[in-house]
Amino acid sequence: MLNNIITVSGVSKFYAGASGRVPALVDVSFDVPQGCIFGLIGPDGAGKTTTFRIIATLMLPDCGEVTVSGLSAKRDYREIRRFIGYMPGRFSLYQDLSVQENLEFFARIFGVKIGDNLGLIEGIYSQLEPFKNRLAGRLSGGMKQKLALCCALIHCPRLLLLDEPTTGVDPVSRQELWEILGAMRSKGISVLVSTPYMDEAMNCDKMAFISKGKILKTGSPQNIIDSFPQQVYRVRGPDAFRLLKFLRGLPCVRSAYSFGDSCHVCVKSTSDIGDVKRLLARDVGPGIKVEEFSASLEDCFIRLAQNDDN
Amino acid sequence: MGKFFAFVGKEFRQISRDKRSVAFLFILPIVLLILFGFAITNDIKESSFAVVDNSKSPLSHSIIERLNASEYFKLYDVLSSRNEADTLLRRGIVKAVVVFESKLESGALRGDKAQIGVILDACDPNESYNLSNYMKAIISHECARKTGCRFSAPRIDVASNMFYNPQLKSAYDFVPGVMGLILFLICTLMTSVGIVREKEMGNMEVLLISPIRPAYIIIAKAVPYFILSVLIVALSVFLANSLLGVPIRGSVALVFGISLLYTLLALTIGIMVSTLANTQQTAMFISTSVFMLPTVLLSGMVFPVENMPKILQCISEIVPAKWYISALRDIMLKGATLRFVAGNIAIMALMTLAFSLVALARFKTRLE
Repeated sequence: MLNNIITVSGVSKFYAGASGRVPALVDVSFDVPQGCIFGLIGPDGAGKTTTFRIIATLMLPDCGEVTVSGLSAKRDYREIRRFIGYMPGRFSLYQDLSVQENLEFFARIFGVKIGDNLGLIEGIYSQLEPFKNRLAGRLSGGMKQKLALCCALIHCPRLLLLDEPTTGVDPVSRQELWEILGAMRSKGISVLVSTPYMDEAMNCDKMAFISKGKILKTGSPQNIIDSFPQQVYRVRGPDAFRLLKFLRGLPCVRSAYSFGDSCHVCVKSTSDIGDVKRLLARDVGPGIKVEEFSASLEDCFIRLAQNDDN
Repeated sequence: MGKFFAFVGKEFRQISRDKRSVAFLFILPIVLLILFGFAITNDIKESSFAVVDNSKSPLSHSIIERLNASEYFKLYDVLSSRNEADTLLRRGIVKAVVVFESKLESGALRGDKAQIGVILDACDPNESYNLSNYMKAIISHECARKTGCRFSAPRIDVASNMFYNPQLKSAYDFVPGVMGLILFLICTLMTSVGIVREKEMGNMEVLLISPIRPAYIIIAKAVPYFILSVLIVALSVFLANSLLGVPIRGSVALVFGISLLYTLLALTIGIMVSTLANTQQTAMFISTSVFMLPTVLLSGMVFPVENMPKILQCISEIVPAKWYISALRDIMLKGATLRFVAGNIAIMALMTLAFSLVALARFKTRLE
């Protein structure tokens, strides 16, 4: 039994752009262990979809190697395609066919019957059943994703590749989708999933931050948070924008960025926070709250992305 | 194989769901056939004409009367000068002007060369050709009757400057052309757009990651259009024969056989186009501008190939529809046998092979 269902080593990919070759992936390497949920976390345009397509054997990397279950994604693509389930970021089912027709079609081209792997899809299927005669194009965003997931699972794949399954989906459905992924893992299916939402990364067993085509860090979400080197302070005040500008102007502040209605601040040394509080009280006025805050994945990502830029 | 049929079934279901397209596919041939068969005929009926009568003789009067009495012509006015006639022609008020010489009758009776001029508006060359023929016939007949001698009929000059289309086209001739166009439209345009839509909508991304072979996907896409084409061939042949009275002098089996070969050829072109295009617009553009326009313009469907400049004649040799249309004409109208059209069949088969090879070479098992 192999430990890693996916190995990606030294993969680079360039697209032809107006001004020559544009790098989409630069020397990307990571491994996805068998039987876990692996999250590829990064903003739009980071290279998530390209990574998925290369792993799904839909594209060839310009350099580097990808293996899926020990098979070369370049040479053995036919075999790999037999045991993976792939759900592209864009809704890729037939919008002019009904829910039931889509399911039946995908079951037939995979050579199975809908009932064959009912244990796997029952939970999702029961949610889709009330809409089974509706055209897929008329489903809500969340229902579309559930249908696509159902179709990707219909042949009981060993590896599930989900490219941004929660984008454009309401929070309740997003939570449901993550619960489904948990259930898949417990059935022994390895899952590679991408998302631009940092908060969702906590649902993963392992994750990799990706930005501008580069892998910034790999590890379990908790490890990544624990490795954050500094104390984060949350600063809140009535005028968040002015507050941010002021904090960024202070020499003792290492980084400050807005985070919802507050600012997250890191200082150069721990003793500096006293100065920050004093200056805030003197120059910005009362009503500013400064409190210690445990770093989130987003703090980690911003720090890593900034380091990478420098 | 079950997977293949699953795909064909899906394809039929999608096509049937798009009711407007299906209606379009069946209404188009009917409308085109009827249009070309009835509305756009070259039959002459009550075309108005004017007269410049310099002779004012009994012969000229009787000719005018005779022309006016026929169902083909209707007298607009008797004019006093050629200038007036030119104005009327230019404005399109009359289609023809008959000019009688002053010494018409005396000359004609003496057996001299008498001149009756017929000036025609030849904007529509086909129509003017018919007009001049009909007019000539009526005038000659009347002259012969009046002068009592069939052989001393006056020579009639037909003055028609724009007269450049020597082929007399009729509904008969249009039917093979319309079939060539419609089959091409359905097979090439619909197939290429259909396959490219799967790419554009992202369906191909999922389909490629499935055990179904990409080649099967493509063939399965083409099957429904092939079947539709067979139905449309049957419909067109039936309509042409029953409604327009176009004869099928050769064998019906040969008509169908050659139509099916042409359908296959058009399908391979459609598949090839789909391997070149990434968006439905591009597919449509390539199908229409690179393949459809030459089909209409250079295949001999509308304009006779013989009258084209040499270079266009050479280009027309590689227009697939040309070979189909000419073979179909020969079979339907001249009763040609298999041996007679074997050359056309061989060329179409070769073209099919060539386009399939290009399509195969260009086909990708990945997204890019």
